[in-house]
Amino acid sequence: MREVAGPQTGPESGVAQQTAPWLAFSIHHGAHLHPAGDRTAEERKSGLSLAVEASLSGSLAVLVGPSGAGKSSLLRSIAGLMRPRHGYVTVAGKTVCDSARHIWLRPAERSCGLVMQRSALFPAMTARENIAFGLHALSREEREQRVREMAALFRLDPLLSRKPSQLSGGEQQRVAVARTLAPHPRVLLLDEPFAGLNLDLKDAVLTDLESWLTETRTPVLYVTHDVAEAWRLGTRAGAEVLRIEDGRIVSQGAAAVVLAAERAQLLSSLE
Amino acid sequence: MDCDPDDALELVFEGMDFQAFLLTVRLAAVTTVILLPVALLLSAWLARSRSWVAHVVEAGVGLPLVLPPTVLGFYLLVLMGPATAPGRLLVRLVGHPLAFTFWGLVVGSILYSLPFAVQPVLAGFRGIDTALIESADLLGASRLRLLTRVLLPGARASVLAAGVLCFAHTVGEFGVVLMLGGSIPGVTRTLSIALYDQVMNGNYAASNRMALALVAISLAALLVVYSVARPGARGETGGA
Repeated sequence: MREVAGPQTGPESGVAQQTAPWLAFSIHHGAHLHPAGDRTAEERKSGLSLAVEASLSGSLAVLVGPSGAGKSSLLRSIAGLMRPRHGYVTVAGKTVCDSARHIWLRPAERSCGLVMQRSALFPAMTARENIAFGLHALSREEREQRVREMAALFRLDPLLSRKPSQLSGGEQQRVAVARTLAPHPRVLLLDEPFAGLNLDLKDAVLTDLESWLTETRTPVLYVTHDVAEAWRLGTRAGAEVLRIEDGRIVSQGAAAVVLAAERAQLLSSLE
Repeated sequence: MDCDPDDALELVFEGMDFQAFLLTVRLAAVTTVILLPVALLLSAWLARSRSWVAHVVEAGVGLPLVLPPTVLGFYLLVLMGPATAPGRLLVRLVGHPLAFTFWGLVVGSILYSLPFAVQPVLAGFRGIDTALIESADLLGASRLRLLTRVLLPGARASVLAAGVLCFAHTVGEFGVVLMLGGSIPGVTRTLSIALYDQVMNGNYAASNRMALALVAISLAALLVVYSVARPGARGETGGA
């Protein structure tokens, strides 16, 4: 049974919500997942059964769990890159997916920014062009202004004319985050974006990201398998932590409660 | 012994049917220019679609690889003829049957060279990192933008290979051309047909020169394709 620390909210809870959830989902896959975008596609066996429900109201939610628990599949389902067999997803109050009502919005229509583990920068484009890629609806002046803002925020000014092959791993990931944030998504999904970086680099990028979060108040769902990282982010004001294991969310709430088992170990490592 | 350059040239090109050579190059160029954009759009769809229709289309595209060229040429001849509805429609549109005309050869060449244009591009598109395509989707790229900004840059070498193979393959066509066009000088007599005629006439010296020209074109095409495909020479990357 899933333990929930704190008031349980969600469309079916019947409990009055103190703040409207910025993300709510109930996603169920059998033993199969199939890629979005093709209703007649054959199911591809994932080997994972995913049955998750949650409603997120705080500014930051951290999803922590071991590799293979379903973290990435959940994020991809929210972003519209995978289609659940049953369930729904609402983003900032808008239903973007509902199997019962046959609602399915394409990824670009969901206003979700997703930063993946690999930067996936377009190799033939410069950093500037990568950041501007999602801004085609803006005028040229607005586009350039937005690129300048992102470059300043993530300290990318000296790197804008370089191609991804000329950037380090940390620089590539900063460009990837800037590219995702440039269109001002309503919700930000981060799938272990800094997993491949060393501690110093990770710390630097996290600091930049935290500054942006504070400034823009964009709600974030951050996925990680690193408990220390989950603790760092999960103890911020307004944050909550969800633990996922074997395709199920087993607990949700304050970091001190959800990560209680690891807390003592973490605190002793800081001494 | 002195060798006059003019004599050398005459030695090499004596018996070469330049009219057939130029017609062949024109046919190959027109076919490639028409077929390459079709191949790009078709490959972009096949690379992403998982419907059964796409599977059938992909199999159909590959059919000319295994079908005898004379079979393809025969059925095209029938289809273009006045005995069929498409043939009658063509006559109404164009004013005359397409069979035994240059543009009839173009139609046949497009179908016959289809797999040589589509399959390299399709392989190139499928080799592109899925994360790049997903990133483009998430950032709201239209299909055209995805094709021009992500797929094409990522599959440059494959597109070049497709163009070269399509050109070279059209140059060497025989069965389809013979069925659809016969051997009308300046209209449908390509180099491979002219070679056949020379052999039938027992003119082996001229036949040899034409055959060497065809070998040279084929070798040049393969050199381009394999040079582009060599590691380090390729412009394709799957991701950052």
